Amino acid sequence: MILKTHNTNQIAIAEILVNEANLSQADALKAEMIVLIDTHPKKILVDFNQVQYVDSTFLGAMVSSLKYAVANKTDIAVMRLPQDIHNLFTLIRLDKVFKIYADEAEALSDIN
Amino acid sequence: MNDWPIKQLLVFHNRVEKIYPFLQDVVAFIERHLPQKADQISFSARVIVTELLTNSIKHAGKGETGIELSISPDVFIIKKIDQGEPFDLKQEGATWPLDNDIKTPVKIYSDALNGLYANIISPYSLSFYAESYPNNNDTFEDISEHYGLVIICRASSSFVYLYNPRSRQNIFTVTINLV
Repeated sequence: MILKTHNTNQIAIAEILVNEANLSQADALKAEMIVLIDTHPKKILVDFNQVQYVDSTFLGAMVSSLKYAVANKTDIAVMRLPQDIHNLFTLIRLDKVFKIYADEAEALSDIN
Repeated sequence: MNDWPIKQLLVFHNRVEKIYPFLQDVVAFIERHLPQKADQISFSARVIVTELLTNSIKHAGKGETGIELSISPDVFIIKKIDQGEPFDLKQEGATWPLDNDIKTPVKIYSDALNGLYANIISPYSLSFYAESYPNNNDTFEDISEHYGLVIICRASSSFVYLYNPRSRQNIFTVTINLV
């Protein structure tokens, strides 16, 4: 398991448990996100707080998960990005694809 | 007084668990030799090296990858050398050796947000560059799931690929301007 999830008002919060979010974790992320999306939450918030670094393969898995989510009428946002990871999202313009929140309170306030 | 360039060759054993310690070695090199620029280039160097190593694990199997770090007064250069098949050109009609007379860029891929292209430098060499596009809709069905080369392009000042058909070496040269 690389995601630890809990729910708040139909919003699933999925905390990434691995420090190194790289190609060895990408398939697991996709598989666990599909299971989570199939529970039909209104929105999924992926928490990157524990992640030291992320590679392009893992980010590709995030995009793949988003496509599956959108097809199933769910949305995915991200929160608590360490500065490097925030910079990387901006660099490849994934900030145009995923809504980025500073923390859970900001996300829940915006969504609700 | 420094003798330029300052160089260090690091060997990466193509295994995913070796990436993070390798990044620490890269950061240590920068902090030792470029302390005044470390904050400026550390992020770029780390994401570039991460993608170069990930590329080796994916495409060069379980061998070794050489990463040469080089500092001159004006530039920081990261050069990766591994062995295997040449870069996979997906554009129809673009095959190795490349036709030097082709003046139009080779499209590597593009989607609603990013485009990755390469200019032909020589029959066995390409110079990559990335473009940005306005996202005019909220449909993400065509958004790419491949970001490695775009990350390297955006984090660097230039990104050149060379294939040596005799040695079967892939040589990626990534330059970060320091001034």
